[in-house]
Amino acid sequence: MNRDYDSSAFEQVTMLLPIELRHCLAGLPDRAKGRCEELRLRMGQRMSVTYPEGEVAVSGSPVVDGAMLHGVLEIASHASAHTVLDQVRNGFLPVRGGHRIGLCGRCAMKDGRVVNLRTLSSLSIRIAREIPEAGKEVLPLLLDRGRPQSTLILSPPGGGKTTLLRDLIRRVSEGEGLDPLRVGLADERGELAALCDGIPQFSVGPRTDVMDGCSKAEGLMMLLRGMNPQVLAVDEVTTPEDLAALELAAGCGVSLLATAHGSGKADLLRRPLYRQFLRLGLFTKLVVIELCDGKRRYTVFELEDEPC
Amino acid sequence: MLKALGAALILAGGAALGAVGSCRLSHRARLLRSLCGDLRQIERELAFRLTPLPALFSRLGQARESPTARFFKRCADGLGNVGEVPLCSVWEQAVTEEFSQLPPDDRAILTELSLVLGRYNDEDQRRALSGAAERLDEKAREAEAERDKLGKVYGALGLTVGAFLVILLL
Repeated sequence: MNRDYDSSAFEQVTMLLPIELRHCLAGLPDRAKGRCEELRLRMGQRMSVTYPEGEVAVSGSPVVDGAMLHGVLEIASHASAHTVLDQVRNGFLPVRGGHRIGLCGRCAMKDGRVVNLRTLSSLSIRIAREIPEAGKEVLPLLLDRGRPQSTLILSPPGGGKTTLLRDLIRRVSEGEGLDPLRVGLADERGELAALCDGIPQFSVGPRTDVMDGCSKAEGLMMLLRGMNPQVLAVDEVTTPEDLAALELAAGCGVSLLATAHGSGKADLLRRPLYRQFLRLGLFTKLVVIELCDGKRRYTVFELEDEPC
Repeated sequence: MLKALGAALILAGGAALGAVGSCRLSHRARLLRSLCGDLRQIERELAFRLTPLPALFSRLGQARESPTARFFKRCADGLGNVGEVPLCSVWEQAVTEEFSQLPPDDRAILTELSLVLGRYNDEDQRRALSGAAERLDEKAREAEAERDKLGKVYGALGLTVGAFLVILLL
């Protein structure tokens, strides 16, 4: 897979930084900007940049302080904290362009629940990029009589699940290698389609209806009730509520495309929620993504005959 | 002939000074009343739609007839540079420069909002907005009473001073 991306996504992400940090990144070569996967800001340390091979501190970067961390949040929320509090409680903040800010710090609790982050200690800004060829080889292996079978994509964090899912959605919606189908996309984090003023910033195909800003489970149910999808897609299934919504959708004859954290097939049996996937027979295909020498390798497994 | 012209000019000058004083009173009352309405509008938007502040400021900045439109437009424009200047500074600067004609007490009510706007959840912001709107409403009532009481006095006083000067000079 080509890792020499263009640097436009990087430039977009740097605009989330306060001016003093923005200047430090201006000197990076274009190739480095194109390969950068994350920016990391930790209180009391210099800003660092994450490449596929590891994290590197940015030379000349000032030591990150609390005002800088809060500055990032102010920019990302367009100085409107009230619009992002729900996401802050979940520990991440999706921003325009499909990028995501991971938040860390001391939580403020009320009635046993996190209500906010009292102090920030570090931020990770993950750069989202489109890789239009990601699903080219995978999609034909998922088809059965011209329709995609319900598929679960598995990889560790940062493995490329979202990128693959996005390209599969686009191909199914555009009808590349199959008859085009209506796709309902529950994009809780706004990473897949990156809706902005109702328009997806990433290409997810002309027949894709996107629901974002709500939980995956609620989004799936609303899509199912209102948009009559033929395929339902959702990123990072993590809660029993997500599972229940997927179970209901599967019962309606809709194909499912979903992702989950895990390094391989064995993880499905190890984790209780994922064991449920197998027990309920929600998915018939499993795509495992592995990173070998900086390249992503996709392996497709059949799940129908898996033991519970 | 020249004397009559001079006398008319002095009289008109006095009347104009009186009118300026009266206008200033009216302007304050109108500005405060308009600000009350704007703050209530922001409060409603936060309650109903959780609208982001740039969108709110931009909408209020487009109201052509409103005397506060320029203030909100300036805030909306300032939010474009929020990585360089924080919202609180954008708001405070706009208050100082756009409402320089208002007395410091009136401006302080608006400036205090900079500590809350965009920084807390919608409930806290709405509470602060509601409190500010109430205080501004009170100030607007004071300003209207002042305008009704002193507006005519200023007009008459200007004319009288003009007439007095004419008599003195003649």
